[in-house]
Amino acid sequence: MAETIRILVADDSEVDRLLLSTIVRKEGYEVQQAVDGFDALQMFETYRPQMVLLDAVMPGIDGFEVARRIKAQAGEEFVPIIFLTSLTEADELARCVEAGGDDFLSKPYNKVILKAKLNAMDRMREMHHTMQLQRDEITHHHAHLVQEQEAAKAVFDNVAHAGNLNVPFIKTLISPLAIFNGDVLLASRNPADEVYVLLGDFTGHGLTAAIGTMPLAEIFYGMTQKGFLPGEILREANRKLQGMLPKGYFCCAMLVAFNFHKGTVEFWNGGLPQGVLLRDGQKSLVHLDSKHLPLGIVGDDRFDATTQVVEMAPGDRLVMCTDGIIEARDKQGNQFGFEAFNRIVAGADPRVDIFERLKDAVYRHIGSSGREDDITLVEITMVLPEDLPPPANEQVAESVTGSEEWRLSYELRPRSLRAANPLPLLQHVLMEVPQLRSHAGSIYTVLAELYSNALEHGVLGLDSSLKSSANGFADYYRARALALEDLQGYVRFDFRCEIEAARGSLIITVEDSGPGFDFRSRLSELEHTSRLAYHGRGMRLLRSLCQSIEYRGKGNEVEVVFAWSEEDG
Amino acid sequence: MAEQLDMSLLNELRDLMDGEFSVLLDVYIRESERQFHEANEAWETGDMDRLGRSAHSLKGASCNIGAVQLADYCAELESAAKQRLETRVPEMLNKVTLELREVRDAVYAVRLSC
Repeated sequence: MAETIRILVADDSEVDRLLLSTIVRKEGYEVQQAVDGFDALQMFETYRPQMVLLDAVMPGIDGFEVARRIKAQAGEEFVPIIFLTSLTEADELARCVEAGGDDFLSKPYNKVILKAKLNAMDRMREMHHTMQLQRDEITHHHAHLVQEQEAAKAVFDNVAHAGNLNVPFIKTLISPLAIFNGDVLLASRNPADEVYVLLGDFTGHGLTAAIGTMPLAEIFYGMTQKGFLPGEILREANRKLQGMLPKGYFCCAMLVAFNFHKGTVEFWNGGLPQGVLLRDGQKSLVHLDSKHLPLGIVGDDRFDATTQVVEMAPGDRLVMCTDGIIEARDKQGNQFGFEAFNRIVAGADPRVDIFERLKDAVYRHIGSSGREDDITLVEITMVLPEDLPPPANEQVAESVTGSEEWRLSYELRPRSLRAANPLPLLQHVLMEVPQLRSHAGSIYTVLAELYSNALEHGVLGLDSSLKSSANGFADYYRARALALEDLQGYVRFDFRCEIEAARGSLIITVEDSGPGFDFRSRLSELEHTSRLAYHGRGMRLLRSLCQSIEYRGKGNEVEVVFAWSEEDG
Repeated sequence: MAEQLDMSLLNELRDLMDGEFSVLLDVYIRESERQFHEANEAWETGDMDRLGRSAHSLKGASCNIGAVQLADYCAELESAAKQRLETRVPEMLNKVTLELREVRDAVYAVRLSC
């Protein structure tokens, strides 16, 4: 035995004390005696016995009161108390138990019985002690685990919910089921000042569901900021998740890309509830339905990243949610449902905040039943380009090296035109020039406009006035997809950069294989068109960003000069 | 003597207590005297609670040294005191007095044989 167990014998009868002490000592325990209740309490404090043999009937403080005080003082520690009493009166035994007695010993004392009781109590005491230690250990581990999860959540939130979500035209509600969230909401601006928003819902909840968020967020932020197109981002995300997630795990997702200059939204929905687009002060509704498989299910060869484009005028609103809202259950198990969702969205007074109404309705529906799924709700309002908050200024390390005078020619042939988006690459090359970095957004916009004009109107020969009709955008993009399939020709970029001290210019020439157009009459027409016409917007945008635009030849060649000086900032 | 004390129990005690057996007997004689005195005093002053407690203590100690008959009388006295049966107390007190005298003689005898 590692330690001799200390036992206190409290009895006002000296004969009994003497007898008990002798028996207990002979069993290998250490003994101290108390002659009455008051003495017993004092001895308990000074001697710290691990077990107590206690006479119930004593003058002064009786055994019952002593037992109560000892138990209170012992707290979480288990100090067995054996009452010394003749087992004659039932109600007296009951009082012993109520006072905290753990066993009884009756007279005349029998050493075998007492030995058995002491052994049993000692085993109980040790078990209790071990249990207490293990409980403390578990508590400690749990606290540690929670602390680690909280630290991980801080990292996770930085990745999953960072970006420019704190802009006034995007409202969000994200309620995590556990510490981690199976839902993911990402938003970022690309170099052309388009805002990309990705809403995702991973299968499952908690940590398992959150694991896929990291690579998805990395791909989304990285590729958006480099100027990749939505389809390209989705394809990469699908490829990565499909390779990484275990079988049966996937991510329902919806990617929307807002072009504030053109007043359009490009979307792709794979497995999420339909998004609802409210136009013309809520008079017309467009449903952005899921037409694709969620991310992470099929391989790259079978993945369809085709996006759709719809118009979205300033003030129009887009509401998206994960199925947590649709499937939110009340106490009786009834789901909130699509109907309620649509009724609130469609029936809303334009002056009333749809977002707040939906939020209230869902929480009212759930009541105190407790949520089953992660609930994420997003509302985005289209704004005018000038209402966009200025982009966060990325600190670019000053570099004195870098090219100062160079030319670059880059020609895209049919297969490249069909498959690849050259903009990220070109942007990347141009950003090697330190002076151009603070103009990244403008340059990307100029490149994007020039490229889409050369490809769509030049090589593919599409008529941009198609966009003016009611179904214009849909028709236009259908025609574009068709034309791409058997495209012939080329688009060539020529860049010339001239830098002199604090000022410089980038001259971009784009030539396409198309038939050209009557740019002289078109330019004069542009002077008179109303602001709202969709076609021709690109050209106006180019004019606002560039020092000069010059069409040449039969109209299949255009040269723009992008100029800057340090004073511009 | 055998009527007053349970000799087999006493022999067990002798083994258990080793050299302290005689001490135990001495303590019993001293303590039983005190408790008996206390019981009488309590009865005279009409303190029934104290009478009950004294009878209880004497009962316990007597039981432990094998004075079975005395322990039974003490139990009856204790019970009479608790139930406030004043008419029954003198009779039981008398029985305890007589039996205690016998027991004490018997204990002395055992004590001498140690």
